[in-house]
Amino acid sequence: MQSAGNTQLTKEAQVFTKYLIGKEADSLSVDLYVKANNKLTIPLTEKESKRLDFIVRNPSLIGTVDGALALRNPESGIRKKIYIMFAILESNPAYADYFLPKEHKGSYFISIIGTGIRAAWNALTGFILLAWI
Amino acid sequence: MQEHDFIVVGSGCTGAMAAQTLIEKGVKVLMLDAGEQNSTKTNIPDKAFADIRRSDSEQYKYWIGEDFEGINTGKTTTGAQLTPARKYVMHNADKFLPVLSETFFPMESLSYGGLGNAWGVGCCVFSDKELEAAGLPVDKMKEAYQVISDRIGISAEKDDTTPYTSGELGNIQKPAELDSNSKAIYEKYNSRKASLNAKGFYIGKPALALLTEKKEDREAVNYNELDFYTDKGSAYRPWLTVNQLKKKANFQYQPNAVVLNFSNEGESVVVTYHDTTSREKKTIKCKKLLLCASTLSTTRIVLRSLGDGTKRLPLLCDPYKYFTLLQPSMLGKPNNEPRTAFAQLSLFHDPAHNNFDVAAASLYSYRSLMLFRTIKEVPLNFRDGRKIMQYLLPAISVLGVHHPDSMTDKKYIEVVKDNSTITGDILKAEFKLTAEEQQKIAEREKQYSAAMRKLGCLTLKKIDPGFGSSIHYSGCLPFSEDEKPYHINPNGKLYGSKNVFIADGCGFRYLPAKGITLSIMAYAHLTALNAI
Repeated sequence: MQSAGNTQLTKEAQVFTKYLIGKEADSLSVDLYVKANNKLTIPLTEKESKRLDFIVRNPSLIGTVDGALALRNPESGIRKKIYIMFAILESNPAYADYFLPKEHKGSYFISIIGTGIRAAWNALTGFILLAWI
Repeated sequence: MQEHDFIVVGSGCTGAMAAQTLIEKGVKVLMLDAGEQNSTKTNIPDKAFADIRRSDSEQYKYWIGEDFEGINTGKTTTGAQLTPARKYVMHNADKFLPVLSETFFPMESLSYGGLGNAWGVGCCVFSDKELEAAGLPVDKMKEAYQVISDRIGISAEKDDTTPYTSGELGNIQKPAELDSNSKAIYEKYNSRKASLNAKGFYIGKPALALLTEKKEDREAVNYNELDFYTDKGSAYRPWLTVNQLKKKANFQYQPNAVVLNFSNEGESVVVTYHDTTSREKKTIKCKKLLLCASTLSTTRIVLRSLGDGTKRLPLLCDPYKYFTLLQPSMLGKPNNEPRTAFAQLSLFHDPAHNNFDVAAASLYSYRSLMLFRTIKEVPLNFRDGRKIMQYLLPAISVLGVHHPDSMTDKKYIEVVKDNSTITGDILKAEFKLTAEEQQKIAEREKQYSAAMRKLGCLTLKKIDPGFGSSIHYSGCLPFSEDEKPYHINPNGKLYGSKNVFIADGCGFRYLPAKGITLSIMAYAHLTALNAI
């Protein structure tokens, strides 16, 4: 049976994986995330803990909070936790296609511009959201 | 107490070369070394990087490490570039080689093969002017460079950068193949050479201690791009030499020994070391002692041995920055050809066109370092950042820029007492640039960015890993013709001692921006010859 701490970490792993690549996390990635957090121990302030709890309960808003923190507080504990999941997913062959470079036509650049605009919008709305949570 | 003929301290680049020279001359050598071994059980398969990425479920052990030591959640600083498989290079250094500083963050090693295990294998000969400024004998160093090149194996091209890299070296192998990004930059340089040269920029293929052809029992590079994760023998590492020396009857290797100090006893030298197994202090006697523990470690030993250790000594270290570059013409390209992970191109800035006061940069392909190492520097949310960086990755390169360094009173080290450490002391360091130095570096970095723009690359970000991150240190015990304490005779002998020789970079009075490794190995060879 998992401890309450590990149950929370498992939930975080699932939510962050869905956020980062839109897929379910496999058991290897979840296990590694739990182990990594137990090993690296990322300290969270009270406010960060509240925010983490909020985004785990409201996964559709992770990008917004993450985007604002990327500009305002890139060293925040929440960013570090998502970063750990990022590194774990990149090191998993099941998700290699989400990280390895691919050949693209010139028109793909438009999609990238769209992603950039979305990132900027997320950051802007995130600033407002951070004032509330 | 048994008296040994020669004791060499350290198994890094200088220790290995000094010991080899002594052994070839037929004398008996004992090498004292901490000898931390690579204890990572990870055995990376002999496959290409991209194949491993797509198929190997154990790959997390190579990229992020079984203890997640490859995930750096802190700031980018010295050692951040080490992959998990290379982290052992710094193992126990904080325990036996503690440093106290707010401004200087060096990397030191107690590993078998020393800092040579983390070496990017770049080789540069110093110009005559640089040798003179450093206090090194020009003609003898030129001969010594060739001796070292023949031992370690160097691959290089004869091109515009030859005066800065392989110089007059003979018997060099063909250069390593370039990746597509660097090929495009190299071609652009060749078509815009006149204007870039007028501004002092010279670009070419680097000289590397990397075999592109078989040499004795070492194989040619396999272009698997795992050079910073595993050693297959094509890239030179000092332990290759020490392993060979161990087969000789006149060579003895003693690990688990952290040398603390020495004292003169008549014509002999008594060496005290900390045995890391028994945790006891032990002594050993020799006729001649060669200190090759690397600049900072050797200086600690000397400061403890001469006087009360409170002397403040100069410090040289090349200031270093990484530039993340984007090459828009490579966007959307598959970027999957085989390559090495070592420097693809060398870029020298020599505005006076005299091969002195030169800034030196190396261009690296980013691919094998993984996206996660750079994503946290991107000011975007991770989801969109991943998508954008995946698209940009084929077009991303990293330019590491080194600047030369000269002595000022704002850069120094001293050893102060500290009973909380195993050695009973701590190295205190201060490293600050003068306003003039800062301005010169900023101006040069601007010019590098402008030159890269001409070559089709945009600078996305400059990352400052702090002073000490170049891992090029010297100048603490400067060469001097006059007998002065804490100085070295140009033949390598330490003033104030009868039979102690310094065979690493301590004596260099000026530190060129070019990699120091080939030069310290050549100097170690010369010092060993002088010591016989």
